[in-house]
Amino acid sequence: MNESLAVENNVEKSQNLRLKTLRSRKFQDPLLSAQITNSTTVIFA
Amino acid sequence: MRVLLLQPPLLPAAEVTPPLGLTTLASWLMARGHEPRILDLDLEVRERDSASEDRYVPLFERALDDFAPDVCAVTSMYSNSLQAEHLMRAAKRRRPDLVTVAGGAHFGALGTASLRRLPELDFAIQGEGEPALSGLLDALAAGSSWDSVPSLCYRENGEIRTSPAAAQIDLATLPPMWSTLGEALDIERYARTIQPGSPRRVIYIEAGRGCPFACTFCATAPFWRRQFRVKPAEKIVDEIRFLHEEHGYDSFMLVHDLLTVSPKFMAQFCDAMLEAKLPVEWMANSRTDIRLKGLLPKMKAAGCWKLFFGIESASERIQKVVDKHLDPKSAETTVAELAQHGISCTCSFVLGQPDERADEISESITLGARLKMLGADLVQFHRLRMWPPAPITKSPLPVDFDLDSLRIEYPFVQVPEDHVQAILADNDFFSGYFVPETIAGSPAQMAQVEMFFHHAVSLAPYTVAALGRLTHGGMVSAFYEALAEVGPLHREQLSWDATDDPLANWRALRPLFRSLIAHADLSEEAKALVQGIFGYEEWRMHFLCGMPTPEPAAAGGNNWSAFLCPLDMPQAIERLRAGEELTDDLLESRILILAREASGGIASYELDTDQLPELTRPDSELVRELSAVN
Repeated sequence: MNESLAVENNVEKSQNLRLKTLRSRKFQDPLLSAQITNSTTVIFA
Repeated sequence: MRVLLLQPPLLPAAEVTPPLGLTTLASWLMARGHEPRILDLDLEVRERDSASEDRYVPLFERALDDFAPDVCAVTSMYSNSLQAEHLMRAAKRRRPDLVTVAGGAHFGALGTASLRRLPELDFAIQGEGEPALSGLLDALAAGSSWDSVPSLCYRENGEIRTSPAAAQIDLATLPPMWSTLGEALDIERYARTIQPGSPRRVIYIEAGRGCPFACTFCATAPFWRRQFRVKPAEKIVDEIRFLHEEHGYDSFMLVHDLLTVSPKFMAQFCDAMLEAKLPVEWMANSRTDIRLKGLLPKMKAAGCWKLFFGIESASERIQKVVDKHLDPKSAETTVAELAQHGISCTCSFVLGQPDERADEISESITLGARLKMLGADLVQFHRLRMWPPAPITKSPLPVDFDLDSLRIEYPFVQVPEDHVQAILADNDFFSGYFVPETIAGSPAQMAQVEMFFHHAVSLAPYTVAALGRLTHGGMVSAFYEALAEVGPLHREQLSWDATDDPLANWRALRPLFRSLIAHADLSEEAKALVQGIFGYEEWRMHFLCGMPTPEPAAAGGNNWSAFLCPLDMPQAIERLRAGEELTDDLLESRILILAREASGGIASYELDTDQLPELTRPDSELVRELSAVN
C-alpha cells in the first residue's frame, strides 16, 4: 500500500468513526417527522 | 320547478369545497324532476379574490336574473345567518314574486322565529330538508296546498304554522351523488381553488347522519334526532371513485357526526375501500372511548389517515357537566394507539362552560399539548357557543358578545359595524354569534385564550405542555397577566389557513409567549427549563421553515443548524411524552443539531457543549459530516 492510499484510508476510517459518533448521538423529536410526513400520506401509491 | 339553492359566504379560507347539504338536495330534487342550480357565494367571493362584504349581494342578484328561478332556498350555518338574511331581503326586493325558503342548521332549528323576524321569508324547513323541500316544490308546481308537506313553517291568515316533522329518510334511498349533478354544480371550479403545492386535494362527502350521544353543547345530534344512519358503504365508495377519477380529489372527509360508533359499518366500509384499490385517503369523526384497536390496521390499509375527536375538556367534572363522560386518560391512550398504526387525528376542545374555572381550562390546554406530542395532527380550542337546538340553549344563560371571537368564524375578517348592531339587537335569533358568560375570564380574555392557545399548541406544544405541567393549573391566569402587559392579539395577525406560512403566526404569538413564561408562577429553575424548551421550539420552527432564528444559531451550514440548548432537551421530550415530572436535573446544556437530509427528511443530533468550537470551524470533520448528511 502506498503512503497516500494509507492516508486516505485513515481519513476514511476517521470519518466513519465520526459519522458513527454522530449517528449514535441522534435524538428523537417526533414533531420533526410528524410535520414532514403529514404532507405525504397517500396510500396505495 | 326551477330552484336556486343558495349558500351564503361561509369562511375566509382560500380553498372551497362544495356545500354538501345543498349538493345532496340538488341530486334529490333532480331525481324528482325539478331543476335545481346551486349558487355558492362562498366560492364566488373567494374565486374573485375579493372576499369583501359588499360583493355577494350583487352576485346573487345577477344569478336571479340569469337563472330566473321560481324558488330560492337558502341554507345557513350559525356563522353566516346574517348573510342569509341579507340575501332573502335582496331576493324579495329584486323579485317580489319569488318564493323564498330557508333551511339548514340555523333556520332548521329556528323555523318559527325566522318567519317572525323575516317578512321576506315565505317558508322555513325544520330539520332534514329533502322530503320537505321536494314536497313543497311539488305542491307549488301543482298549485295545491302545502299544509300536508312535513317539517314546514309557513304563514296562514297572518299566523305562523308548523307542520308535523317528516320521518327521517333511509339514506340508502338517496339518489347517486356528484355524477348526476349536471349543470346544478360545476365541481371543477372547486377543484381549481386548491392551492398549488397543497399536499392534499380535499373534499367533503356525506357518509351519514346522526350521533346517539347527548352532549349539552352539540346542535347536530338533536338536529338529526340522535338517530345514527349511514349510506351503504358501496355508495360512499362510488362517490369517492367518481370524485377521484373525474376531478382528482384524493382526500375525503367522510361527513358524519360519529361514523365510528358502528364498528360493523366501519369494517364494511374498509372492505369496500380495500376492494376498490383507490389511491386516496379519508378521515372520519370518532370518540376516544370507542375501541377501534382491532380495526385500526384495516382502517389504515383502507386509507384512513386521520380521525377527528371531540375531547372538550381534561376535567372529569366538566365532562359530567356537558354530558360527554369521556375519560380524559382514554384520549392519551387512543391518540398514542392511533399513532402506532400510522393514523393521525384532530383533537378539539370546547372552552368556556359557564362554571368552568381558569385552572380547568389550563388543564385542558395542557392535555391538548400532550395529545399533539403523542401524534395529533391538529389540536383545536373553540369557545362554547349557543347553537340551537343544543341542549344548553334550552335554558336561559347570560351571554356575551365579543368581536374578536366572532371574527374567528365569521365569513369576513372585517365585520362591518351595522352587522354588529344587527346581531346585538336580537340575541335570541342570532344566539349562535354569542358565547355564555364564564367564570374563567372576561369575554375579551376568553377570545384571547381561544386565539393564542389554538396556535401556541400547534407551534410549540412542548412549551405549552411544560408550562401547563409546572404551573399546576395556573397557565391561563399567567396568560391574563401577559395580556395585561403585552396587549391583545388581533385577529388580522393570525391565520387559520393551513396553506399559509406558520412563521407569521409564530411572530404574532412570540411577545405574549415570552411574557407568559415570565409571569408564570415558577421557581427560577423551572422558568429556565420552560425558557429553554421555548428556545428549542423557536429554533426548530425556524429551521423547518428555512428561516434564520431571531436569536442567532450557535453554528450552522447550508443544510444544518446548531442550537446551544440550556437543558437536556431529548430527555425533556421523553419525559413530556411519558407524562413524567420535569425536574431541575434536566438543566444540563446540550448542543442540538438539525440537518436537512438529501431525501428532505430532518436528522437531529445532540452533542456535548465542548464540541461547539469544532462546529464553528468550516473545515472540521464534524462540519463536513453534517454537510454530507443524507
